[in-house]
Amino acid sequence: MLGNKTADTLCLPLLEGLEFDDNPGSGIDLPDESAQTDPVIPEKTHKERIEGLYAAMPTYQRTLSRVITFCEIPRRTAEVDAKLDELQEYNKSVYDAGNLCAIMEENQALIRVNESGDALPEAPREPDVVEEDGVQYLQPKPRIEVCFMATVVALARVAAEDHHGKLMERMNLEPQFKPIYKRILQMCDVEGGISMSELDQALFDAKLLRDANLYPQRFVDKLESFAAIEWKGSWFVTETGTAALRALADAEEEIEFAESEE
Amino acid sequence: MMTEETTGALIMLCKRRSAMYGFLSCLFSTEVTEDLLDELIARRYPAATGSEKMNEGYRKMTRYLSNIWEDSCRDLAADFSRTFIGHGIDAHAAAYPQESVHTGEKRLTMGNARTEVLALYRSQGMRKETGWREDEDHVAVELDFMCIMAQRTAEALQAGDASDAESMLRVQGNFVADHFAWIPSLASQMRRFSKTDFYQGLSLVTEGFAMVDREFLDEINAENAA
Repeated sequence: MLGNKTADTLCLPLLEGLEFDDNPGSGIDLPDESAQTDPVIPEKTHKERIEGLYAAMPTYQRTLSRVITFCEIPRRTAEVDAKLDELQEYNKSVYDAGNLCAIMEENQALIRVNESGDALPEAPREPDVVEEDGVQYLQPKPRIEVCFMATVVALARVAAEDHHGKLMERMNLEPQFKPIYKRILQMCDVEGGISMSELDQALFDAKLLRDANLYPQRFVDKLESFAAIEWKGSWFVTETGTAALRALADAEEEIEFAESEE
Repeated sequence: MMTEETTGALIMLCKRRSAMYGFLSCLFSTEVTEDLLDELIARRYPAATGSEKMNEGYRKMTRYLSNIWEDSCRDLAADFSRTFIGHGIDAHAAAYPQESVHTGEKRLTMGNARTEVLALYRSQGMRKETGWREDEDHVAVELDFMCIMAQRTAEALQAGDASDAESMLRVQGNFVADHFAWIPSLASQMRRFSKTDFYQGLSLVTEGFAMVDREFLDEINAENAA
């Protein structure tokens, strides 16, 4: 910060004659530390916290569930980092493993444990006191190996996720569009997946969509939100999507297309 | 007239003061890096300094350092930002590390304090490094100034130039009296805004050390004047 540290300079008597303040800090407005009070926030239950976490991150729910599943056994931070990089390869986010784990920990989806999965002691470790030549010193302890593990409540939340049931429920609310859902799932169920533009081209002129003034993207979004398809550079069908395809085996396959305006 | 023994003790003391000021300056200047964190864990800290604030501060800092894990550096960076930068738009959203904020009526940076310390640095042949973007009255710079002056005092004593050493001790005494009076205010606000034991402890160590060093400088300057 201050350069020229070795400059051989004369000390100018600039400050001689100044009166010393015997009461350092006088004249400076010090805040009253005891007057600081935190607002009272009602405690949430463990389950409410996890539901709140999911509700607060609607576009990140699948990643949350995957991280929770991954952390069913104790995982080191580096492993969670690598997993999150893999999950976010096609879904970039502002969250890195560190801050995502911190948010999940704050909401009790993850806890810090040791490598055996035992909870870390709640009380912080105290430094060692070492003595040398009759003088006592405080010696910090070495770094702790910390792993993350999903909580029972978080694992139960993931286990209770019923994407297939919710997808079927959704499709039953608009049964007329089952052929559209089915066609998209079929198109995604190919090696190498399918691009959005190909899906668009294939379904843009479908009369069902034209009449309802809807676009293929809307159905792609729905299928993605129920984890039936996922984006990995192209759209691919997932296990939920494959199960949905089986459930739609009897659904109408024929889609009527309008005359192209071109 | 100092004996060889007292001169030796004073040299050692000035070197220790310099090291202490350098240590504090380093912690205030920027976020703690992984390498620095490893160094901090490897160090030992005095358990009984004679200052209750410093003792408590070291206890807090070493407790934090005893619980370091892979993400601690990020936690410390977040706490550094929360403590010294803040995210509000008023002048009370953080423990601003510039003297002008604490001593000026309107809590603005680049005030009279900055002008005064800048003149003092220049009078001692020091100038701000080009890479340093903060103001000259940033606490890290003021602590660094004391670090350099204490080191120069030790060098002058080693070279047998007692008069120069006395003069430099006077400069330090005046600097501490004039420009460390805001340290309790900064420390108090650090305790309000920081969440980690590390910065809570740093506030106590800094406040305690500034007080102890002022007592030392007052005492030695009074002896030299007599």
